[in-house]
Amino acid sequence: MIILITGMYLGILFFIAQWGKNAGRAFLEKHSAIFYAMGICVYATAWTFYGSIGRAATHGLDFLAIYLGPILFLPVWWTVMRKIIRISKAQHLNSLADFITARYGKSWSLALLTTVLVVMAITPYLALQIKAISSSANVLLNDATATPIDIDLASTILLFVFALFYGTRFAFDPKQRNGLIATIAFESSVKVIAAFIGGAIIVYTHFDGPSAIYQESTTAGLSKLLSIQSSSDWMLMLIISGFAFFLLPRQFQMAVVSNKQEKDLRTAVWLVPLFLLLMNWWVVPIALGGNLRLPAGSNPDYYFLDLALNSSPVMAGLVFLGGLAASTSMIIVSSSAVASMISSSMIMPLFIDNRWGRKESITPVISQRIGLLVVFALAFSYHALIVQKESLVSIGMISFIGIAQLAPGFLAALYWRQATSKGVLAGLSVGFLLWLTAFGVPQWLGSRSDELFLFNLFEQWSPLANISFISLGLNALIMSGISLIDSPSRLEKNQAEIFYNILNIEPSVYDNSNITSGKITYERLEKLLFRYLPDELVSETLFKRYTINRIKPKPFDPVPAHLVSYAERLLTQMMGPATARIALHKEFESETIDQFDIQDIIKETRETKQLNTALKEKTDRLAKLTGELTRANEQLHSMGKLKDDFLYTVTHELRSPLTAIRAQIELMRDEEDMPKEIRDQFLDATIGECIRLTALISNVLDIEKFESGNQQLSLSRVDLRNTLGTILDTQLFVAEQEGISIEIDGPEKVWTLADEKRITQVIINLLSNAIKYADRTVKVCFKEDAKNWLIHVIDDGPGVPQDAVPHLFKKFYQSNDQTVKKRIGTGLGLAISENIIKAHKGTIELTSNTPEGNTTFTFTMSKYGN
Amino acid sequence: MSLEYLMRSKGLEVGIARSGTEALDQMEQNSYDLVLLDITMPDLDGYHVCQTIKNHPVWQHTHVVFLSAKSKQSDIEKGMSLGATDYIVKPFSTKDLSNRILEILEV
Repeated sequence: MIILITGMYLGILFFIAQWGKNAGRAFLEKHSAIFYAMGICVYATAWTFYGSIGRAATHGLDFLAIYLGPILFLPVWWTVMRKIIRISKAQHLNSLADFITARYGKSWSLALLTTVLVVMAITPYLALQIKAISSSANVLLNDATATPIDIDLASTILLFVFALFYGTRFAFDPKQRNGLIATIAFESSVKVIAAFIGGAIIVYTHFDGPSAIYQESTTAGLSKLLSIQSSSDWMLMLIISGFAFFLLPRQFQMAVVSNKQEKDLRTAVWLVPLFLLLMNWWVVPIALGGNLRLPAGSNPDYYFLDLALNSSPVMAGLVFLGGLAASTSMIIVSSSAVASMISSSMIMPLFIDNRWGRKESITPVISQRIGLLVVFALAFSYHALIVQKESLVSIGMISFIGIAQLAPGFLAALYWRQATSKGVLAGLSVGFLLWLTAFGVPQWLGSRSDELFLFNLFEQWSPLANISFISLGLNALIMSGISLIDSPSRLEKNQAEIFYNILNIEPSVYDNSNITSGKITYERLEKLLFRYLPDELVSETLFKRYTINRIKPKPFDPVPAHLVSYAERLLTQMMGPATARIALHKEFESETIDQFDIQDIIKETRETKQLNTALKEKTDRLAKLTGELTRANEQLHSMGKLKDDFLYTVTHELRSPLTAIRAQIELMRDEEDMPKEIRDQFLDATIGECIRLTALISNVLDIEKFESGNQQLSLSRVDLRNTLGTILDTQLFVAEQEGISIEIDGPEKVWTLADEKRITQVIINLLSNAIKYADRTVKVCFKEDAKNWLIHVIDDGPGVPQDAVPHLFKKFYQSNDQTVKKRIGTGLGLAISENIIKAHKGTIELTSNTPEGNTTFTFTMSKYGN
Repeated sequence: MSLEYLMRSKGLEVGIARSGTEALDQMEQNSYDLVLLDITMPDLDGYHVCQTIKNHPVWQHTHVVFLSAKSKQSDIEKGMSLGATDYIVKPFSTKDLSNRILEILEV
């Protein structure tokens, strides 16, 4: 019966994997965040499902540390993960060993050491899961005669087959990956449902709820289990679990390699703790319940199952399936991860290095399958041959401490650029050795942890704490010490820089850091890749790259450096960075494949960027300045031109009166018999012209003074009406001649602060213009507003032609409509008036200009002085 | 005024116009042998008047003499290129002017 259930369940797993690979792809993409988070929950294995209860029943709340550790690390986890994921994706790293190897100069010895460590630490852990399957089956069968070997062998073989199909091409085949992710997510759901709902049902049906259990426990004297027994151990477990959460091979597979997009991390940050909370919710009640209800001497690890059995077969089945899910998910992922490491660092190098003189190589896939075989064989043998007296948790803890030896090197990989491979090798070796002697060997020999021969430095701590502290401490110290005195290769330094700065470096930097000689040709590179990669993969990757970069690969042309980097990355995802590098160097033995110093590249890039921004700034500023200069030049030009024009016009104007004067005087000299009237006429005319000339010269000087700002106004309190009065007589005379009348309108006194002489000039100018152009009337109006007097000079003449309006106040501009009257005035009148009014801080303008109506010039003077 | 007197004293008949258009009107009414032409005038300037005269089927043989304060080389060249017989710059000597005009008219 049990076999049937197990078989069916495992069959379901196959189905789900197939679905994930094909039909379910879209679904997986859409909910990638949830699948991702559920994948990470592979952290909870049979240890969690059964072992926690066992631990709680004997050691109280100690068990919590293993889950609180990761939860506490989660805020950090999120930022660190981004870095790890980005690095792994950029360099095509597919396992923890790959990650560490890549950072430390792609050293093969480090890869090997890491793999050995992992195998030694994880094999017991794997065996533990197999044991859980058989033990739980046993509990259900309640019959020791049914040989456990049947169930666990069967399940092991089935799991092996599963891993063969879905756990090998995992690293480089996204479809395969989907299959695996779907399966693990499914299994995580099963175990959490079983744990939470199963637990709830038992606590409420078998007992009267959690409070009842607590009460009963207190009376039974079990209250000590509601506390932490040993705080030092607790702290230790917290920290080590935190590390393990990153470093366990299965965790790296699910959290880093299976990650599709970085933003999925955000979901994981809350979903994973929630999951762990739900898994552990009923642990304490069930542990206590077990202590209370079940016969003494029962294995506390399986209290859950026992209580479920007592409940109903259905419950038992549910719990069993939960445990099965927990174990199998761990086995699948972990074995794939470890197999990949074995393949990369132990199997593939044998063929690449041509040690056996074989020309052919096995494909990485086959190599990984061999690795899987090794892993399963080891795990099963361990399980079968070594009788375990340990509790699940103890075995687990020892594995954790073993894995934790990778922590110093791992952390340094991300945050300490000076860590070198020699340092890590040394530190790791020492830590590993200590672990081995203290736990590893004895464990493999089957002795209990308290029978271990070890040195208790700190008496108040448990042996576990001691060894952990000492091994990790020495590990870190030696790593640091040797790293500091070591001088790493350029490759190492570059990788250190990349790992440290991945979030800030652009991909092009490490794409182009390779220096290759010209002898690496397309033909040879492709041959190399085809040897180790499946054909479709080569087309999908390398050939696509050709297209994207618009490269036409001629077989004997040299390959650019960035393509060589890319090829190396393709090889890395098949066989790890160390072996990939060996393969590459083996193929192109005589060629140099070296590296630029990435720090140099970064510095150069940064300097170039700075130069560029500085250059751009300078160019912008230059453009602006040039614009200003051009404008100033234009202004100068036009001013110069104005001055030229002015000079030209002035001299031109001077010539006219001079011409007339000269002609007249010459005539008077030459014509002896000139009639007296004519002579008198000429003399008058000459005098008139001299006056005109003088007026012109004064005007020009005036204008010049105003323009150059040299004009001084002598201000006094002036009554504008009075001013008007003084010139009115002369103007009236002229006006009468033309038949024009002048009207004045406004208050009696118009007081302002002004230079009387100048204002007189203005009024004369406006008034004489008005008289010149008026039909019949001219009017002068004095109005006011809040601050100023407004003086309007109005005539009823035809007004100013539209095209003349903008030029009205310009120098020498005279109206074209002078057919009727002789040209009088110098053309400077309005210009001078404007200057004078402006100097008084007033305004002057043409305010009304309608041919049918009036033409009005208005100027303002302030009322009470400036 | 002085020009009028000058010309009359030399025995020439004189017509006076105060603007370009007035000048052309006068030409239509009488025929003249020589036009003494200022350049800077309201409405039509001297250049335009000269052009009109020189393009006219009947008047084109009338002598045009520019009399102007515009003294730049380019002004003189422009005037001459329009077909003027001479270009005299103001201020001028009355003797020179009258001599020159008589010279032209004798020819």
